[in-house]
Amino acid sequence: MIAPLQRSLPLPHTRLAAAAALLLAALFVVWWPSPVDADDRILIRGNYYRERSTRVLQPYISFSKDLPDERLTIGADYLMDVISSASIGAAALQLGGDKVFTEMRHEAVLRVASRLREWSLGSFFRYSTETDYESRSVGLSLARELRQKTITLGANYAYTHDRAFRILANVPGVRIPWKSKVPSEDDPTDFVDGPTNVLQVHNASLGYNHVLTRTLLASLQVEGSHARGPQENPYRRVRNGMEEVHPLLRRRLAVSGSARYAIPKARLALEPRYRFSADDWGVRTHAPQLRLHARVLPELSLRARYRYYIQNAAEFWSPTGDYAATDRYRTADPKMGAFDSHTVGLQITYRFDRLATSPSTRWLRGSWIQATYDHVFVDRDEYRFGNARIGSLALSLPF
Amino acid sequence: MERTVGPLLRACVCTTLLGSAGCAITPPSQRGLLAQPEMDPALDLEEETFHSHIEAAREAGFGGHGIQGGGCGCG
Repeated sequence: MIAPLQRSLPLPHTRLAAAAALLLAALFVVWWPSPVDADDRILIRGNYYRERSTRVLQPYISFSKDLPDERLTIGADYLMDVISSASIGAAALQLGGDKVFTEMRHEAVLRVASRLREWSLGSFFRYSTETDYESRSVGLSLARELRQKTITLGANYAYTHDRAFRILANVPGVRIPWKSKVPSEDDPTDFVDGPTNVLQVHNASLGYNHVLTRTLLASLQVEGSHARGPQENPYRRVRNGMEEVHPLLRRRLAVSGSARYAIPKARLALEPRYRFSADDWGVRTHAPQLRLHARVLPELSLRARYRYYIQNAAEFWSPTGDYAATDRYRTADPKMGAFDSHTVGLQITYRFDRLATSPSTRWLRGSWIQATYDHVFVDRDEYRFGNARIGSLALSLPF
Repeated sequence: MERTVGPLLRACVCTTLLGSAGCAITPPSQRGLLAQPEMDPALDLEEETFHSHIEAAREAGFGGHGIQGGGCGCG
């Protein structure tokens, strides 16, 4: 959880990051001499995100290995968010003006998957930690191919168990459990600590993919989420200085669909997407998107995308930012208001297959490098996050 | 919420049934184009995860990228 207060990286986290990186490197070295004939792969990514008051640098490494084939696949991911954030709003006033703070988040994922004829099974465990937030997730997935593998039906379930804290007096390591505020039984204008600092989230989804013709794929997905626990920012305050209070329960539903249509003569593929989501906080969102894939050269691909996003405001959003002491819920979260945005992006991918012709470069076969840039435009002053720049550089190597 | 869920679920079920019942099977010998990288959704998995995290921090919307989790990152 990014907060407008400074927390430095505790030393044990640095050791954890170093140990994870060493483990991944060791696994990589051990398995590198294997022949290039499976889906064994290592992916290294560097992600970048910048908005008006926050910058995130995210190195990421992912590894997957068949043991010995697709009947058993293991994988591990590690990423680190390096987040620099300016204090804004009420927190800036408390600190005597805008300041830039840096925080780190570490995330590790272990994955196990199995493919047995037309059935696919998968599971994962994810652990994420930052100075004032801990998250643990487990998930299961099941998929089955039908009709000569032209249809895939899938189901996913994930449970997330998060614990929220609040840093005290801006001192690293000094934190207390953060509990949502609830009105006291005696005085509804007096808010007291809620029952827990644990946020429990159940996510479930059903997916359907279909090869409709030799040039057309389509997919449909329905997702639901049930979250109970603290869901506001412990540091953010509304305009008159009162703490944020969000409902403890949030239920969400999303329906999304996409298609991929190949145009062989033009070496193009079109990918329209659409997603609708709704929740019981009164938010409805629409996100249509169009992607155009172009194979410029056999080894060089370009992708352009445009995404439009629009949402209405949550029921407890106040356009003026003012709330009365008797208001049950209060928010200063910019994403609870109504706004729309436009995202344009370009991606370029180069595949090294043509360079993998000699014995010394054979290891490059199947590898690729990819650069992506997206820009998000939001033309609304009250949306405090502002525009965003999103970039990434990825290198994928089979082994 | 309840008024939205019912029609959406019905629409999904109908679309699924129509899609599965009304299309001929494309034989494997004609799926060469579908093996091209630009036609493979699985290649976007890591990028989708990254975008999902950013959208969760900036937007109140949900879904469209598969199941995600972890710390909130930019709340």
